[in-house]
Amino acid sequence: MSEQTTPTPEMEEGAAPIAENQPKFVPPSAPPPAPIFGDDEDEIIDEELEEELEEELEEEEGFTAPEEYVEREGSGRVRRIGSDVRYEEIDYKNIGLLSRFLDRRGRILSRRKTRVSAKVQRKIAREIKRARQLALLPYTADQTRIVRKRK
Amino acid sequence: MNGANERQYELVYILRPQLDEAGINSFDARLCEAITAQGGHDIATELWGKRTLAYPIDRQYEGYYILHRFQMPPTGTEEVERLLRYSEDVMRFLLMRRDE
Repeated sequence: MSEQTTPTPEMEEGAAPIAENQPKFVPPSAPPPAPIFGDDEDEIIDEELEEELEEELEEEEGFTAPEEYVEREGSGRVRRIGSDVRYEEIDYKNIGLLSRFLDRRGRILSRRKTRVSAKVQRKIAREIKRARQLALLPYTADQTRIVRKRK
Repeated sequence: MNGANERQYELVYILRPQLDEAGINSFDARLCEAITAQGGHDIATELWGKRTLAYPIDRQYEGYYILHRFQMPPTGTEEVERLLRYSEDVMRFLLMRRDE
């Protein structure tokens, strides 16, 4: 603002273009139209994107999950990660089980991906957070990389 | 009188990796003493041993994990937590009620 309110002699000569440079009132742009496609399509796009991201992360940074983490079968999309989980088994000490509910970055998988009941998902999230406090699980993947790099 | 007012607790704590076996044992003995002094009993111990931490804590990459399960009246938690909190060798702890 200050540059525009202190006109120098030279600037006064070209007053018209400066005036044009003044910020005009721009009506707030309308929010982008909501995606027309349904939930399913949206989900597929999102998952593909995330898989790509995960592959990139793996290539670039050479992050490998600790051996105690349970490997996912195949390279394809994981279906029903938690289909065989019993409620009593979910515990902050059960790292092998809980690690299945983390993505490569160490984030807790959403319920949309895990497809477990709300009750089970709540307990999983709770126990993962407890395990994180005790440094049994990482908060982020690069924390683990720091530990591994040192070795 | 005692039985009704007791809870089942589960405690996990992490000791600094520099501690030798004698140091670990003496701290654990001190902790069990404190639990007993607060009316705790039936202390079960699980020694997980030295584990690599998922992330560094206080520039440490490893820690000794020790787990205890015991019965104790709820008034005792304050004292047990105080001991854990003010011990410099304890990096982290988690004291939880574990009732059926």
